[in-house]
Amino acid sequence: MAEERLVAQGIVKRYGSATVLHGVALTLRSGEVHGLVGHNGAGKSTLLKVLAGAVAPDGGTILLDGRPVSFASPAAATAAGIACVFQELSLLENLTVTQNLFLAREIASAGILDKQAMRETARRELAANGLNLTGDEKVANLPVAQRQMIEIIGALARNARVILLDEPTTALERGQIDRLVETLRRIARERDVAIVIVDHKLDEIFAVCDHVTALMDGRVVLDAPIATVSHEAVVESIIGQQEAARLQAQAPAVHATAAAKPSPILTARGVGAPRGLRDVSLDLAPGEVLGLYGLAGSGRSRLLRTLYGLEPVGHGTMRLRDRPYRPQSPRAAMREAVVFVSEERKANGFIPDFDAIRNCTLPVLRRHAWGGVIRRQEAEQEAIGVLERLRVRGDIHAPMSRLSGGNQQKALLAKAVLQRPQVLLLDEPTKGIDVGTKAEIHAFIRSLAAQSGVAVLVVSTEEEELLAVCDEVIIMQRGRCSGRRHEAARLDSTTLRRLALETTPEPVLA
Amino acid sequence: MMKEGQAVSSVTEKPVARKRWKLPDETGILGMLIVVFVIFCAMSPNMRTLSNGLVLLLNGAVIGLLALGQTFVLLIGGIDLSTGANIAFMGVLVSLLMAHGVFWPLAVLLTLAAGTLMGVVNGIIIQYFRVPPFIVTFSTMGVMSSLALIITGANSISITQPGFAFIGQGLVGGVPVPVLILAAMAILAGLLLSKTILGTHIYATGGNREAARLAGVNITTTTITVYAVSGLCASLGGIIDTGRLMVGFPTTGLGDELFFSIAAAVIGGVSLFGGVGRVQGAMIGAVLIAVVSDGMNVLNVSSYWQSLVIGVIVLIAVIFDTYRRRSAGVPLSETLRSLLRTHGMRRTG
Repeated sequence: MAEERLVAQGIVKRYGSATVLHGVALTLRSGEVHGLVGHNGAGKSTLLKVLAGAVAPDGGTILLDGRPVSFASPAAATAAGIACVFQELSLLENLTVTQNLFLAREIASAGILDKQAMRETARRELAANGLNLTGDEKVANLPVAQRQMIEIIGALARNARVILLDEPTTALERGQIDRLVETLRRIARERDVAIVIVDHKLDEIFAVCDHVTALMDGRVVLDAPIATVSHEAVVESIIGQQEAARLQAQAPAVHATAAAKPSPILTARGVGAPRGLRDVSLDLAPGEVLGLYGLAGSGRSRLLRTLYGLEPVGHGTMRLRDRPYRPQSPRAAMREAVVFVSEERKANGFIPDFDAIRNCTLPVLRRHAWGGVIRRQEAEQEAIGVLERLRVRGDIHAPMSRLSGGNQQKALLAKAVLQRPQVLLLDEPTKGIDVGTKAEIHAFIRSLAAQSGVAVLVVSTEEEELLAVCDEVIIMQRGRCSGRRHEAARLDSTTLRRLALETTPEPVLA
Repeated sequence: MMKEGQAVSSVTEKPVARKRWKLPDETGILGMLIVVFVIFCAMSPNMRTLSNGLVLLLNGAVIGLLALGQTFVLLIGGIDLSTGANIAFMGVLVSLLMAHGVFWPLAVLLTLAAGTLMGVVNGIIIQYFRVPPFIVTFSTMGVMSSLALIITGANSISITQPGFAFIGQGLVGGVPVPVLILAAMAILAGLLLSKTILGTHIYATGGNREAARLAGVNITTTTITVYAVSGLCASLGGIIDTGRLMVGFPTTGLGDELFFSIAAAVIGGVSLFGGVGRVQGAMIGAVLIAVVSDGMNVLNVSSYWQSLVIGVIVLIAVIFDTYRRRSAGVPLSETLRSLLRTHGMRRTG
């Protein structure tokens, strides 16, 4: 039986008057993978930070291998054998894999590096964990999945006994996720380390974890071996029963496919672009939510970017409201009431130092200005109204970078809605967001289409999301899309995945 | 006005967290300015006179104008190293125009247009050729300082139209004209940054270029505009300097001006990495520099010490600023990461 590696008890953390953790207990066993789930703001990240030494708790004890510990800094936690692999990867991109693995513990004699020894050790470690690399590659040239693995290997090489992973699968594709899950399970077993995973995707939690702990409002609401709990029980403990019922009642009937469909507002026929788009045809009608599914590299995001004027069109025709449509820039697309919400929330979603209100008003200032002078109160009032409608939690007057991911995403939706879109392009609208907020966002997207008649095109790598939010789904394969629709009500994740893999092209839309 | 404000606050109060009142970011540096001024006043009775106050502001006016233009450029995450050379070039240009018989008000307008054009050229090269602003303005600094020497043959040009002296030496209600020009420009610039679409777009571009572009901000226009503003401010500085001396020197503005103007903006809380800072801060920074220079003059300290003292103040200001960011809940690592991100972004533009 696995021994208790780390036992945290009665962990309390306050920020000012707000208590984020109310005496949380967590027990990590060596050789086990431990899932940590919860709503945004439930306290998962704070708990991880406490364990990692990045945040000092206001109360409680932590025992590592039976001895009480308290970490003054992340470095102290690392030295004690607690390693973190956070969302923003911490590898140095300008160095090679080997240099990263041996950073600050280089093998050297008399100050001269023993490159041969380091290279051999690195190669052995890489191979042992299924990475086919020589170690001489620059990290900048490696895909995210491999970088993540290298970070984990680095942690192991530093004799980590506890590894904390914050949403390790957000950036990964289906196949990569499966491989990561398998590797994590193996590492936990073979190296006898305790692994903690914060993850919003429950199927992954169920696939990888031995034990699951759910937090809600800073308290543990569920703590059990994974084998003893059901999927539904975990969902309920995350979002709370009342909330689940409310969303059920609020959401307009999904998949209520109207008998008479309005004619499309946006059409594409045989559209190709220099990089990655070959032959795309699709129709998008007002009031519908259309899903776009495909493997990585199939050109999903590129298509959205092309429709938003971020990528040039090579050939083919696009029409908007029966007029030719060929936007040269995002501004041109916005003038036509085409609005895009980017997948890269942190990289290009918002201005970090602006508060949520100012970010929301940024694209619509012209509407609230006279001769270039902004009527600020009027603009802010409108933005606050929409932010409230979307139930954005947190301080909307503070820099937006301080909101949680889910609330940032809601604010970005508010920004999109303020632009009064007729065509809304959403790229991964709930990436890295907890189950509760996800459901809220889905309900909002549905109501936007149903009540405001917006034509919504959703790209997502999560099959469940597309099935939950879309009326119909179209498939992209290697830069091609026939425009053939698959009714979401008749699909399941497996079928969707199979459709994306099929190599025979589908019949082309007339 | 009051009624409107109340209506809004009652809306914001209810469901969402209310906006908390907090000290302006410039409070610290304003406090420092007051402390330094009081110390100098205590040390020398001459410092306390009104006439000395006006001299102090007059000497600081050109630095203040440059800092104003620099603020715009810094706010989008750029830098303008060519402002000092712009002063030199525009100073001799306005002198030459007048020497060739152009009536001085027209010469001033043409020079302002030329200075702005130099800024536009900076902006266009930066935006269309994707060259980092440091390199572009570094090069145009060389070009303009050289042009000033070439077109004058390194000779000074004396000015024969006495009306022109009004700009550099005139008084309105006892206040020197350059100080009034600076005040007017600072108020205009402050309003532009805080009240207009362009101002918001400048902050947005400096905050996150790509996000701003996706939100429909015209990055090209914004970039070219800020460099044009910097060019305009510098040419105004060149005209004022020339008007004070009534001679066009091809080396005016090539001294400490560039260093002091960037220092003023940075001391005043304008971030070198874009997106953060206000005109008020830059102006307080400029006044602080003027007070230090003037105070040291009054106390008969060798002028060789000036740059040293101001360099130390810049370092203190930057350390203070970093500490303030950290204590506001933003960890230092995040600050550094955002610095790296800004630098990375600028290359790919």
